Amino acid sequence: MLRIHEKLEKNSILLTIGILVTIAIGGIVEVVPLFTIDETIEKVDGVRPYSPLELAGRNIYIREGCYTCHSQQIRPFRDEVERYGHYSLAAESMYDHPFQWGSKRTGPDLARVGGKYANDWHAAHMIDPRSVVPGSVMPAYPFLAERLIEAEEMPEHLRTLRMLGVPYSDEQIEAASVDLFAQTDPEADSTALLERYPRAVVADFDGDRRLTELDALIAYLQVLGTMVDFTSYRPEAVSPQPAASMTAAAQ
Amino acid sequence: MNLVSTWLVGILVAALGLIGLFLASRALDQGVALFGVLLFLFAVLFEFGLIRRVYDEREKAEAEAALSAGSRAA
Amino acid sequence: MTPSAKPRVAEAYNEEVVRKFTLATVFWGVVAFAAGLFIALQLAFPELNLGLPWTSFGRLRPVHTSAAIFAFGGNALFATSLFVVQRTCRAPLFGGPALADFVFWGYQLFIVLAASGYVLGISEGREYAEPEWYVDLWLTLVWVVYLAIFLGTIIKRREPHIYVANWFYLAFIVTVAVLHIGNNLSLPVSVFGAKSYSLFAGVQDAMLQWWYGHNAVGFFLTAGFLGIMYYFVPKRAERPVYSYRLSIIHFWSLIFLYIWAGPHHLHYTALPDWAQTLGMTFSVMLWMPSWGGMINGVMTLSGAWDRLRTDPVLRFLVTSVGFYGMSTFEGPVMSIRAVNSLSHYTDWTIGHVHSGALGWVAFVSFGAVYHLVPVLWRRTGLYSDRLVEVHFWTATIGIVLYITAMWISGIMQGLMWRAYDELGFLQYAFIESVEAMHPYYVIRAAGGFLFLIGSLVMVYNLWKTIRGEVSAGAPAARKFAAVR
Repeated sequence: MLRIHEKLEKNSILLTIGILVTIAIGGIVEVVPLFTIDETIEKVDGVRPYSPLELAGRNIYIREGCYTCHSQQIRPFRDEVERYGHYSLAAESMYDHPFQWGSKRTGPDLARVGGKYANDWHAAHMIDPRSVVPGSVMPAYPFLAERLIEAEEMPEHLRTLRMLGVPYSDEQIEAASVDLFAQTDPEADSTALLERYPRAVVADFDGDRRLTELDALIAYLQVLGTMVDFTSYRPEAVSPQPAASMTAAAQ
Repeated sequence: MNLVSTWLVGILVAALGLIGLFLASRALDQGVALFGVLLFLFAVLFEFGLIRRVYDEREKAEAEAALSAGSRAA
Repeated sequence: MTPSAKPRVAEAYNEEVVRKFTLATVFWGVVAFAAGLFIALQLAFPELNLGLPWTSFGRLRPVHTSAAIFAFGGNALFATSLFVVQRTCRAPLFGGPALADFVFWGYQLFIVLAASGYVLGISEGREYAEPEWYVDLWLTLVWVVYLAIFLGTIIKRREPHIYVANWFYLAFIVTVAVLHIGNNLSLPVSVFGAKSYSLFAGVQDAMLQWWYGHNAVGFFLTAGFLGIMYYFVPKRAERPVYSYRLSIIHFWSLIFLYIWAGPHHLHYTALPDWAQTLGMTFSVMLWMPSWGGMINGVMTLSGAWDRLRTDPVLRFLVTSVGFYGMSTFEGPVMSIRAVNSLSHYTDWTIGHVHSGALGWVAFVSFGAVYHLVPVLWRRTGLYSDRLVEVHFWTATIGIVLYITAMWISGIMQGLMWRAYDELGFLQYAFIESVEAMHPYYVIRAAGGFLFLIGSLVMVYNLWKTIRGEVSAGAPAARKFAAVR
């Protein structure tokens, strides 16, 4: 062995190739099957691409680094499921470019925060967290209520995501800017919007009539975890092996 | 001092500076605008640095040549 | 073996770029520690977020992590790798001073672009890979040039045998390139705009991110810094590396096993079971080559243990290897699913990171810088060995405060989240666990403050050294600081 190694120690190209081959193996074995094994992403109903307003909100979430304190991934533990809701499925983040599962809970997990708090609670919380949660260490984001969303860019964002595999239709792309405004205007006709994005929450989220970043962020938070109907979800029906151990752990 | 490498680096960096200017001129947001401007400034300062280095080396070489010529004459 | 002739004057080693990188290491180190202290204080006293967009914890956290890993750690790796490769190959840097200058200034530009971007809200939302696509491209260019210089110098070497430190540096440079490109594949919305969307999504994106993220630790913060250890410990101790055979075995097994460890960041998530199991198993196995490195480093002091009493620089280096051993034991333990079910998402992870980052990475960097500065500036020794001792003890106490505070707060958080009362209800509201953290956040900030003070003592000592001063209490000059 030492003689083989002596060859590597005297030839930098061989050494480099040796290194490249050695480090390539683990990555290939762990990454490639995630694309080839069908059961990696459960076949569930309900998961849809983000509406333009939700997407704008998601981009703000990423911009402000919310993932540094909040996770979006519920584990199959009894206490976790009780505190946050059903454990997270891979399918629920299948359109998340990039994923935002997070790795730290300075603040609570947000995977199923959608529908748990009223819109004006979220608005008050974002503007001054300690006004609704006295012991909170979260930063205040009052400026979100003052910044307006740039609607003209939205179609390009949807088009880019479609190139990456998110199934936005031509209709959805064309209506992107219109849908942005429609989702924050409860008085407008939202039938078309809801046809394109079922169960999207339509409201003037921050209570001021302008289309602000706060509207977008709250719209995003209100959709989290709401797409899959867990009353009818049966894990054994969609992904037999992994789910069995998970439901056992969840008991 | 390897003049070939200095020229190659000089040309590469000049090209980068022009790319920076181009990006800054068409930037749609603050991020790319800042990138373009900083890239251009980087290129300008770097080129000045390269020019200064070449002349410094030349001066040093001339000084050393004069010194050894002087010491031989002495 | 006859010693070969030193390079002729016209081909002298490029020490100018090493000096620049060394100064940059110290500068960015102070920035990184100060940024860390500030965000630690923000968690204890949230009013420090100031309600402004540019100063919130979410935007400043990547400023700290990038400054610590890439600005401080990165410049330390550049400085030492370019110093070591020339000396151990007996060849000046490939590409000449112009190319080396490009790597230096180009890397500093990368740091400025990344940090200014985060503060402005430009981030890809991927840990330790936050810079957007155009900054990623710039870094790729700088990195390719770095690889060319490093490998080119090795190819031009006058010493037939490639020294072990260079295997580690080479593995670091090459693997980081692969990881960086693999994890940053994204499509910009417009080539004139900053925003891009990642190529992958959801669970596949998660796997890619942690294939990268764990190996940013494994190759940037471990393999590269083992390169530093393999040169500076034997050099300072004036002893040969303990075991050649061990270095071969642990090098190849380390770089092979590390890559598989990524999934331990994703235990009990929607990542498939099989991947989690692979990640856990390989992470536990990784303990062995890691301790192989630790043993090789520490045992190099055989026959020279007394130097630890008299040489505080060597003390930094050897202590760093001790912390390396500690972190590479804690890591595999935390990779076990049962342990991880408690530790994931808690401050314990932060404690673990910092025992490695402060105890291993920073300490070995300090040791290397303290050794290098007198050599590079042609001084007979440091201005004051006494101040190195002050730095050592201040920093060590800081580290101990930091990690014990985080162990306690992390385990406490994990236990509070899963606690049930006698009636079978969850005992604690989430906010109660946040409130319980407060004293530990204050202690942690105190630890970080001490660490920062230690680094300022280092800055003072190095500045005086560079100016050519020697303090009254300095011991006699050591021979490795003599002019070469």
